[in-house]
Amino acid sequence: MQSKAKKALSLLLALALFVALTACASPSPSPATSAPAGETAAPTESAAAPESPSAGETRPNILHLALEGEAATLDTLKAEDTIALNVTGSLNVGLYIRDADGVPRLALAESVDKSDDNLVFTYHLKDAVWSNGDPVTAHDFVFSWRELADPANALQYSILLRTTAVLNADEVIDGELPKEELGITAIDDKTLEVRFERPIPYVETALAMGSFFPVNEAFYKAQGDQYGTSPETTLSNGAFLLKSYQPSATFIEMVKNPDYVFADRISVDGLTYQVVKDSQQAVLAYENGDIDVVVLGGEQAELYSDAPEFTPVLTGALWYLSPNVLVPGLDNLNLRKALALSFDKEALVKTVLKDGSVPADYIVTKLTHITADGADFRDLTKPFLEVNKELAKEYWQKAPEELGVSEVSFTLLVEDNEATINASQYLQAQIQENLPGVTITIEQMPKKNRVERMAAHDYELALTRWGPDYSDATTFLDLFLTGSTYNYGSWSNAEFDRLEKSASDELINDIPARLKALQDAEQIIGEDAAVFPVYQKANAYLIKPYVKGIEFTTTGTLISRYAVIEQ
Amino acid sequence: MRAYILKRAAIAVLTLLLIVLILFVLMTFLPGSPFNDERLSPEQIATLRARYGLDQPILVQFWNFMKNTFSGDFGVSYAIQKNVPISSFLSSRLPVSMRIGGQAILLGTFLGLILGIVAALKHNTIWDTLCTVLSVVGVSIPSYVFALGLSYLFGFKLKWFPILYQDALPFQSSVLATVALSLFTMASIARFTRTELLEVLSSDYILFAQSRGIDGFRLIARHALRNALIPVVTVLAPLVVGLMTGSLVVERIFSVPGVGQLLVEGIQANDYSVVTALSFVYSLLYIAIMLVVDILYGVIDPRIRLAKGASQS
Amino acid sequence: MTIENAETRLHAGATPPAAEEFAFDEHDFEFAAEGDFAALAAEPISPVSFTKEAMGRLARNRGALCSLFFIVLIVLFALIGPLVSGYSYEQQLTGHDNMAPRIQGLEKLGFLDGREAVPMSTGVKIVNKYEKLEDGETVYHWFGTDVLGRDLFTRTWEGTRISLFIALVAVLIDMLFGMSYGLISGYFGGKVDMVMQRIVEVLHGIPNLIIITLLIIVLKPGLLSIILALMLTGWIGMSRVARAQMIKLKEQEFVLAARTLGARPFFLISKEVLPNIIGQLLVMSMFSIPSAIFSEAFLAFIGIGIPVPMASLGSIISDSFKSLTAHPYMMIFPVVVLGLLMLSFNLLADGLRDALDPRMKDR
Repeated sequence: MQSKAKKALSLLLALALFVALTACASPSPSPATSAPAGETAAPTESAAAPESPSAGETRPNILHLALEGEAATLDTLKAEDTIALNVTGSLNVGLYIRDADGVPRLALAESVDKSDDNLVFTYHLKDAVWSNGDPVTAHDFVFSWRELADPANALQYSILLRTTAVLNADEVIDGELPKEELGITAIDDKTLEVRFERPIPYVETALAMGSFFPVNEAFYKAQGDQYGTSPETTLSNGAFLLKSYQPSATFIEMVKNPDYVFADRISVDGLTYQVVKDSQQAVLAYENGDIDVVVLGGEQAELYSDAPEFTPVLTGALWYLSPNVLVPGLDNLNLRKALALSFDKEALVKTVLKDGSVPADYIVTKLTHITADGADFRDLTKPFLEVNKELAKEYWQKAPEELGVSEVSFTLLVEDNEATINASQYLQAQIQENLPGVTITIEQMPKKNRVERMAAHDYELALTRWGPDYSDATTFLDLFLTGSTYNYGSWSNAEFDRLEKSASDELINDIPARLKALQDAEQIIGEDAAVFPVYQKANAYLIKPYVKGIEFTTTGTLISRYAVIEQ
Repeated sequence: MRAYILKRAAIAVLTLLLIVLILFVLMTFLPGSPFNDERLSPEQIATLRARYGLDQPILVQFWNFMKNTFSGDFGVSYAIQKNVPISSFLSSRLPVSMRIGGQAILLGTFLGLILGIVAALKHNTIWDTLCTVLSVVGVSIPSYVFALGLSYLFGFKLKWFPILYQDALPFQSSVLATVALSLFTMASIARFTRTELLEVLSSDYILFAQSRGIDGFRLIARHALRNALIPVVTVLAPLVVGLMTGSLVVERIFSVPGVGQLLVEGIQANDYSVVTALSFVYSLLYIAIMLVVDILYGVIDPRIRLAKGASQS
Repeated sequence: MTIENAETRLHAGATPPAAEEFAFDEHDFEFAAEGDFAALAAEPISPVSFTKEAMGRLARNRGALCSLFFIVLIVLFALIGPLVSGYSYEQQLTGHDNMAPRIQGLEKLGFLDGREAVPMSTGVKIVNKYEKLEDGETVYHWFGTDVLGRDLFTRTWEGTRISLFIALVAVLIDMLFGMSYGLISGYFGGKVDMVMQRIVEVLHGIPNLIIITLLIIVLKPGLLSIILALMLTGWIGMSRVARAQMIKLKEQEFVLAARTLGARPFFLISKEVLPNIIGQLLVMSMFSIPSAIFSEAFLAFIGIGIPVPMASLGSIISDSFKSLTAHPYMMIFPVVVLGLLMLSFNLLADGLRDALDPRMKDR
């Protein structure tokens, strides 16, 4: 028999232990107990202590990058998401390459002859080689473009052939013409001819995209399903060669390609990608020196906001609320305007996102459309739908009369990642607070399900994102054309359609008039509150001080090939 | 005995078939399809569905799957690894998961046994309470919190082990993941051992052994423990489930290239073939372990073959 | 009623704790209660006395009592916490994001006064966000606030409420269904038992993580689908215990007697057998509650938990996990509540089992 005191003591001890264990488990001790201490802080130490243990020795000339997930494929034709594009972009190169200044530069082509009407481009290729020693020929381009267009392959980015207006692209993709009819021909091994239906001003930046990279037909077909599953079954012609890889690898190793056309510009000997899905672990690994460049998630961005290596990079992606105008209530202009004006975007990016994202009072994002004289479309065009809670209330007061109801409720579709869920909860609270009578219910789901629901027009409101495919305002504005596949909200405006189509048609070569048409078209979206822009996304990076030369494209993609590791 | 084993095996196969069928049915109700990327046109989606046979009736799909599976072909992934044969990445990922899972079971069982034995022998003392609390705490702190805590302390502060899994250092870099994963096993084994050992200690034959003057270590080791540990075998199967759940979290935190997260990613991406393949492998593993446990137990304890309900903790 | 209980009781009462002594004394073979044995045998033994005795045993178990106290305390807080905080669980206060805990009274002691050591990369920065607010003097967030400026005290108790609700409903349904299933299967035996047991075996073979995840996505995440998914496989253990007990009890004299007297199966099961096994099932469900709470927390982590802005303990923990290195306080309170809840239920269940199983007594 135990004495009462002993039992009570044991329980007390047990509880103490429990609390202690809990405290251990949280990385820094609770603020209450450790406020005055200086040694607690995680990042401090390593920031203060100059470098990792290897400071005295020479640092391996290898760049360590992090990925947020596994690459879905190493096949340039199938690479569609940012992660796969990032990895395949290190391995391969196409006719053009896009650097930090956003200007497309010839890569595999020595020179290009353009016809006077800009409808025929003839490329003279350099003597580049594949990693198996085969020369890169014009036939490799012909093969990959035809594969891209082939309806049997059902490749997402075949849409790029349509937007660049490659001759017969629409007909081939729709299966009306055989793929041999696509406007690309190999005159000889080193001469490639591309024909277009109409001149597209941004065509050269678009051709720098991964989907247009060449593919070695013989090798590709020989590997079949196994293509891109190991270094032996992958061919590359870019800055780096694959050294170790297996499908869905969490660690990818690459070495410098001595035969790369710009090999003299590559300073590092190799590159590694480490998949880290947990953002806090990524930062710990960065602090430990395992990773040189890392994207900060949510609260980490706050901790590093005054660190010298903190680098916020604006991407071209716009996050916006899309109303489905087929839904009763959302067809009402006053209600749409009330909703669009009712939330404080500035506070959202400052207190919720904290990663350098900027409030968006526009559709065409900053850095997307740069005119020939270097001006940003955004700076030339006036913003719209800036937050105005008073005005929102006024619109909301008009809406009930027209709708015949005093309360409305909508479901908001959101994909399940931390930033968007927080943002959507913030938007929900703001709208409900500023427009009494409006109720927003959040429905979260995987991104793919959200996209599918939207594509089926089976939604009311959705927080959605669009990233630019090429450097022109139409990459955003085309979404809103009547009948466009991506016009999920079914908004339609004849004047907008007219202006938007003229920009890709009769005004294509009249740059000032085209710009004006695009600007006017964008304003119509704003006046009609066809969508409610929220923010333009930025990524907050940490880059080790000894890593120099990391660049970002104008749309925010990391360029690793010019990195230099300082000793 | 042979009849018993055959009966168990038949049930196992039936279970496996049924599981796959249930999965197929559930997945037809899953919202969305694997091919709903923003830039795919409806025609392209139809083409892709046809290519992978997703436009066929569910029973045809089920039949095809079973046919292929038993010839060792899991098909290709639709979304998370575009068109890559599932077997080609399962073959590299499954061993990693199984190794870390095995390490965790060994570590967890070892620690759990110690805790459980101490608790039972010192029943109703502070040690008992302490062990109980430790084992409950083991399952009440979410494993991701524990995992990050380990990584912070041993990976970042003390730098004893790498924070992230590395293929080049398969053991060192899996230590933290193993410890995080073993928590659940440890807790379950500790609780179960305690209960069983207490029961055995109060049983007649222990009294008899004591009355014959067998005492101390010999009594515990030779007589009590041996009999107490037999039923512990039965918790093995549920532990595999625990490992599955745990590995999902732990593999994500430590970037382990295992199969744990593939399942959830597959579900979220509607990658049916990956989900079914993984579920099949999991179920197979789980059922095989249950089968072995059942048969083992039947061999050890003939009473089990009679209609005796399993004694639960 | 019961002969079985009476037997155990007599046995437990009469046998000395014979662990150490193994030599027999001569009076070992006499009735312990010499003289009044007739009176003792005549004394009516009702189930109440067993329950009473069990309760008595439970009351002597400090750990279990303490656990019971904590459970009651947590339930009380869950009920009144959200009402007294002055905030609502979904209310986002502008400018109140990421505020450290601050409690009246304690702040004067320099403890929980709203200060927070933020481990900035350039060094630890002590901030007190309350000082930056205009009316900061009068603002108190007892557990602090989250990234969206919601009061964590309110959310923690609101979350506790939902977690407890999910667990209780799931376990209750498990218990009712599993019990009926097991009792029916055990009572009728033969073909019925065979079929029912094969079904259980097949269901038991399904790794429930997969089914739960799929089911929730199919049904859309929500309170109902989570409860449904959790109870999907939870009843199996319950049914096994019920069946085993049924098989053991149905051949006992008191059941046979009732059957001979023409009692129908339903009466036999509910009136004769059920009272004898309800205790064990109660213990089982006590163990199931923490595991249900924990499963819910796991679902929250993989993003199919309770829909936002609703909160459960699990969803708060998995949300604040993302800010763990920056603002650890966000997680400490919900984790402590979760841990305390699980610990208490487990210890209480242990105590209850010991109380209901007299063999464990005094060992």
